[in-house]
Amino acid sequence: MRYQMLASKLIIHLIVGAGALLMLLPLYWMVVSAFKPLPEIMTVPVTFIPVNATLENFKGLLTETFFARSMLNSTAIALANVVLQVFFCSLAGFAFAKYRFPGREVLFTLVLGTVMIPQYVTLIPNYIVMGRIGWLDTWAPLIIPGIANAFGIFWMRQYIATVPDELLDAARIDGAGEFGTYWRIVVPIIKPGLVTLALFIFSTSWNEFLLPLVYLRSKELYTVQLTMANIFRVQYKFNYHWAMASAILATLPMGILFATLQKQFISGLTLGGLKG
Amino acid sequence: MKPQKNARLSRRDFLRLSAGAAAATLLASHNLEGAFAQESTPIPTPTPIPGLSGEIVLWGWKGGIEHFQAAIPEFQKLYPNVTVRIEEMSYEDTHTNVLAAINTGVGVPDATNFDVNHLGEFAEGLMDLTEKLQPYLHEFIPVSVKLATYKGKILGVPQDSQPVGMFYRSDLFEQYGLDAEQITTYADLVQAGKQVAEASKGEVKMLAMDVGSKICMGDPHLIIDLLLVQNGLGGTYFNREDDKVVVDTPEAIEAMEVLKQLSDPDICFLGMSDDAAIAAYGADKILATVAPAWFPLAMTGNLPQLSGKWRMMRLPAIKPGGLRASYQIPSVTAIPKDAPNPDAAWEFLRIAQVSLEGQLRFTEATGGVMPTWKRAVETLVEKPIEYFGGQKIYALYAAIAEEVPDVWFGRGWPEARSIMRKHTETVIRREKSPEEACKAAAEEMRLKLNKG
Amino acid sequence: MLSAKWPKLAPYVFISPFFIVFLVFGAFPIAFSGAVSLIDWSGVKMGEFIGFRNYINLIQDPDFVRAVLNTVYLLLLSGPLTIGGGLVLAVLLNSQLLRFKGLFRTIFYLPMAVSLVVSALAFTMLLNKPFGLVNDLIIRQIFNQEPIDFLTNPTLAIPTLTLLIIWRYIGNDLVIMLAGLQSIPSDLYEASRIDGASPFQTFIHITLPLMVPFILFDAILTTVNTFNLFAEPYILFGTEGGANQAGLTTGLLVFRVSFKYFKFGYGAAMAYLLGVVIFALSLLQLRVGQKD
Repeated sequence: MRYQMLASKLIIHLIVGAGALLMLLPLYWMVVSAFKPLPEIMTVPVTFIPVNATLENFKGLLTETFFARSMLNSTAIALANVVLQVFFCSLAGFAFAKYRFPGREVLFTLVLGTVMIPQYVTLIPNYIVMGRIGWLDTWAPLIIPGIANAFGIFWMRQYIATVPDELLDAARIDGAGEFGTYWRIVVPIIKPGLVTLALFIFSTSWNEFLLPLVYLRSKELYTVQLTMANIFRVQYKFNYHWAMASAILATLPMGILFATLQKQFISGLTLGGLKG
Repeated sequence: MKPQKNARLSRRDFLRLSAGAAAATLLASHNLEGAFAQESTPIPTPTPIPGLSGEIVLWGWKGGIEHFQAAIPEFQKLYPNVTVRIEEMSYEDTHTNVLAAINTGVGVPDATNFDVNHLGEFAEGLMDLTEKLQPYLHEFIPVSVKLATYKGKILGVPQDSQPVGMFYRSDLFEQYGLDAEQITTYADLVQAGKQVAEASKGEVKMLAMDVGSKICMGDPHLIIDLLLVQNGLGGTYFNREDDKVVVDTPEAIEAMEVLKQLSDPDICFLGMSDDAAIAAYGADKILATVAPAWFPLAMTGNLPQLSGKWRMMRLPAIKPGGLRASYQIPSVTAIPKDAPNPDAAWEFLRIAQVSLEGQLRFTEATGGVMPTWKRAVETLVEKPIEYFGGQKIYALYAAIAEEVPDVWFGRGWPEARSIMRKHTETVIRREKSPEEACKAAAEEMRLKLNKG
Repeated sequence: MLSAKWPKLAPYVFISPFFIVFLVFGAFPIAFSGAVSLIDWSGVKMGEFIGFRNYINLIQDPDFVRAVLNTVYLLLLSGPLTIGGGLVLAVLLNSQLLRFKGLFRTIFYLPMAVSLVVSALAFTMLLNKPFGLVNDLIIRQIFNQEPIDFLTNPTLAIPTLTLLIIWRYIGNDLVIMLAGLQSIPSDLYEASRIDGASPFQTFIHITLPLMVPFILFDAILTTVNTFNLFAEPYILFGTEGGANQAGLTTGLLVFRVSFKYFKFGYGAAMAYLLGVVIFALSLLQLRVGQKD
């Protein structure tokens, strides 16, 4: 029995470990390439560890491109998205989870149904709308249309459903009011869920490409993804060295967020679950 | 999952987005001052339009806008009340944005660059510049004006010129006992390729093609296009007179037959990615490549170590004594019909691109992309280019440009090219005969483009 | 349940932001696109009303058929691998026997934190024919084989795309599956263990049936995402879909038709038709799931 246990343990670690290694391989290759001078990147046989390790790639990237500015832009856009979406999605999720009102099921189904809309259907008409209201070349189209979205609402509804009704009733009896109940009772309880959602939103916003591409024109407003795409494009040669360096820097904020908030992220998944 | 655009540049991007970074340049010391001193036929200096003010917005990609930037001081001497804003976008985004803007009437720029193969798509939304360009037409290379003309109207100001020739490795030619002078037809080229393959036991080949659609110096669609032009089909896929599809004509089938011979795996590396191709060039495994006028910059940029080893020659002819010239897609700058400030935009273009100085600035800023102003070209033709062992390749390009027959791009061209590419692949994979492929391509074009 | 007085309205107010935004930026564009799909709109000129001709042309279009077939192939290949892989991984990551859980989870989530531009770059670098790590080190140096043309060989197009999709999105599946596992009461496992069931039997008889709703949810999500997939094939193969159009997916084709050929009417029709396909597939999955 003990040997059997040990064997299973070993097998599990082997499988999961091998999987983890495969997951890390592309990232490893990206990281080491960022520290290689261009000729070394394009050399056969490959060098598994940089032979002529250098920081020049980063230096060039930061001094000769809009990259640093774009990092700030992307951060600002992502934070705006996080604050607005977390608020509006949890508010709507609260309504769907804890109120019984005519049309609830139909409206919730409608919310979920919007997931199935292919993005291409809305792209051109939206461009026209944005133009008419003067939002071209601003960040508004990257923020406003998404303030409340199906995934966030669905997620928050599932999460808030686990909040005991008694707590809400007690708050109501204390005269907390509808919004007060949400703000003072629900929000503190669902914090881990909010953090999880916030991470998703941040990541989606940070990685968005098509919308900034369509709506932004001024380089000063560019997001990091756009700037990255441009870095590869402007130069004459294949600039794998800058590309890899920018890839690392662009991934850093997400990496740090995931690492620091990982506990809350996991508990957000665990506590709430997708019950109901 | 959100759609995204290509992080990797397309072949065109990569070549066109050359730009001010001067990562590559053919012209070690291109002296602008000297060029200005040249004698020039007088052009009537137009009187400035009084009272112009406001802002003009120009769109373009890196490599197509630096000369705009450089023209601002001169422009503002004449029009101090007009501010100029240049919005740089990637090559592909520019086309998408132009179309979106002229379709919706929203955010329309005052002038924009685009590749002239989109002319048919954009024509309805562009200002007719025929009258404005009239006094300057004799200054432009004729083929560039022809390309900027759609249904009798000149809709864009020519920017660059893209005649096509062929590069070959003089050192390797010597090694394999080949003489470039003796290669006058594609049949000669194929024959030479077989000789090389035999001598090298298949290690070294004459050409490389990428059957896929990635960037490659020998993308088959590029080759079939230039073969079609060479064989008398100036509209590549369409007829000028009645806009009918012509890719199933005997001329087209003949061109496809040549492509089939060129894509013989004995003489041509197939399915070679760009990185692989660059590595293979560097390893002396490829002897020749077709080469539009932007191509020298790609070579110097990616393969600086081969400096002195390349030479340029004309394309072989399809038939003995046939045309040894072809042309590829250049760019133009146009003013949209809905441009907020069209007069100022034209005045700006007149200074920035419809002038010797402007076009010289363009060539300077791009590191040596061929201009369309005759006298600007003249400043280049006598320059020996070090990368080509001192050969005056601009002179050859200029001569080729003069021989190119009537060329144009009709409506639906971008889609037609995609259809053509697909069917060309079936020939390269030997799934279909050239005739079958051409007929299938023509049929699909007729169906999808509503053309006869 | 709350039941105060103004509050009759409160839930409507709380959900109103979604619906306001949806009306302006969702419903209107959908209706607009619907109208466009009945028009012959190519390039700048908005053409005439042509009824359903765009749709009729569409089903006869070999590119469209090709794209749908490619996408279905991709779905059949990548769907089971990501969903099944996600489930198996979730079970393993949940196992009492596994240590360093946090570390492993982080690693599997990591690619989600990487943008598409970045991941595509990493993959093209990794699979690059002359100097990619996989080709040079693993295939050439270790196994002494000819380099593989991952990116340009038509038969490898969809499998290569699948590799990228698994790498990048398995974290998504893992999140859903872990959430699902948490919802299974632990006493069920306890009971199963006391009955002397092996871990495998427990998985088949306890875990799997209870996970059906989550697997379904994931399957629908995967279906929708696969049909919408654009960036990955675009980065790996370009708008033409690579050699022999082997990597041409539906998302790629809609983009190509709309933004490269500027056939908005045809593109809108395609987007609409795909919407129907996605909807039908989703319904089918729900049906099949409910039968079990």
